[in-house]
Amino acid sequence: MMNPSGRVESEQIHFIAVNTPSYWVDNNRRHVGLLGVTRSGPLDKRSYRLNCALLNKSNVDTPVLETFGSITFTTTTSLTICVTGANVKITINHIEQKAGYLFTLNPGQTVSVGTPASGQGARVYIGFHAKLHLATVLNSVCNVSREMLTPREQTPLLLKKGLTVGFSDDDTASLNPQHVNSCFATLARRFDVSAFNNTIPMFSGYQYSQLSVNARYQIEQQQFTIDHQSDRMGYRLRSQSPISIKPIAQSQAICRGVIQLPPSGDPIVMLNDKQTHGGYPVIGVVSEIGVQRLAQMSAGDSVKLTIITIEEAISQWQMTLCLDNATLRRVMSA
Amino acid sequence: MDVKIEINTVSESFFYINLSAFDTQNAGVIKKRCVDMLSTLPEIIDILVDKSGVLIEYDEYAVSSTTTQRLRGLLAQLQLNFTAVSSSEHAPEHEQKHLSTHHQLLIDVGKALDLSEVCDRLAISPPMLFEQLSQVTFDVEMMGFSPGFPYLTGLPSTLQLPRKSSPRLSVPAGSFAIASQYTTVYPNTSPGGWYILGRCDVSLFDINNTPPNLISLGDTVSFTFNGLEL
Repeated sequence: MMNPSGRVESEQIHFIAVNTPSYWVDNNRRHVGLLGVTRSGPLDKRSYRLNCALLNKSNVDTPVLETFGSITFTTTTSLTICVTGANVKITINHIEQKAGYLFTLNPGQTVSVGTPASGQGARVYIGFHAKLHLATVLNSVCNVSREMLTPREQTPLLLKKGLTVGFSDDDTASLNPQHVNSCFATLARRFDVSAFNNTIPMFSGYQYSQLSVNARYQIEQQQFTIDHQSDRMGYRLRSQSPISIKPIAQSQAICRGVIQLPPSGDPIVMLNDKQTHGGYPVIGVVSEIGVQRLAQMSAGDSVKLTIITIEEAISQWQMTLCLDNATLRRVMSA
Repeated sequence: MDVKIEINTVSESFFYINLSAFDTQNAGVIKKRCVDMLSTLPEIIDILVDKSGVLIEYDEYAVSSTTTQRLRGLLAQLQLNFTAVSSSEHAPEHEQKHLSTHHQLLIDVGKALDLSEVCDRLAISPPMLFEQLSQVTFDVEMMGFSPGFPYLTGLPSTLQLPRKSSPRLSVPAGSFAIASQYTTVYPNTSPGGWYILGRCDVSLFDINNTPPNLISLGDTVSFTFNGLEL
């Protein structure tokens, strides 16, 4: 097995089964908008960040696997992994593990990450205490298939059954799995995604003022169902009463979380793999807390939009980050 | 002319600098200056440009107490710069040259999939259509939609049509196309609702090049056409 630079790998992770859409993500696609390229990155920012923090790694350029679970892999040498996000069953050589975040595999052992049960979240983040040898595009492991950005090395960026990933030891980041797992209850109280409810906060913006009074009423009063045509690019919300708005003449730059209203009248919440610009009217923006809740929901789940002010959204998000930091500092410095 | 920059908070980690009040003649220069100056702030992690302004994403984990101060300082500088550019009839010539590159692209009109429909709707002959298009110097107003996709302005109003009511599922890479007030060349194969009037053999975006995009914000583009059977 050779890595992209032609070096022979002695240490490898071999993916025996990958049964759900699974992507390498990091936060390192930056300053790409002027190229017309999407920023991509982890959908559930807090679970990604927790994963990096527990592995004592950077929350910018560390590759983490974002998956809906049902993945099995083995390693050729001792390796510690971190599992955050949705609550899933972890087995090592068919033995179910106690609840925790860090799991250490011995050479040849096989780990299976299950799929989350209903109400236990959707997306699982698997981090590796190793330097993974993955190809990058625009300094990032993120891969948006629509963009067709194929690196010269032709190393597959999409995770598939049978893929082998080489790695080397990560001697820069020391770990204490026993200590981290002993703090599981403290961390879970702060980061447990099963505690999320189905209310998605949004704030008005862009073309919201062009909505009729009736359309504004429809946004807040009805239940939406997450459609099966939902992915990292956007979540389509099916409604009982489609919402109408006048089309816009100009494409506009759009941020993560914008709610586009196409002619069908079913809103689409644009997520990390969205295009940089959109030609449909936008009626508002789902808050960061709302995006995180959506990221941990699946097709068929029902949601309700609730309008808050942008000031409330900023305040809630900053408070969340502040409390996350405080919890992590307390656990990691103990 | 004293025009104030309008800044709107768009979300927890995005803000928008609305430049629509500024002189449209120098809009490209003003946007480019804005982008160049904001790029110096390490907290800013992405910048998008559209017709009316600049959308900025910042890293909420990297923002510190000094960020706001530095941002205010930059915006004050921008305000001075913009007022200077806007109040002159044209941006300084040396700046225009420094900021932009002119591209001359050859279009094969033998692959103009929508030529007859466009000519019928505009009531114009094909030679007249391409004659008019060849006389325009287009400005790159923004990049977006897909990697390397340029939105070019300058299309005469007499040649403007709304987007097709039913988009194509697959527009070939290199397609030269018009819709609304815009003109473009599709860098990659993608869905699209624009009218295709030819094909360009030059690659506009290759991830293996540095930089990957041939055309950038603020550049100018003109077209020559061949393959038209008169």
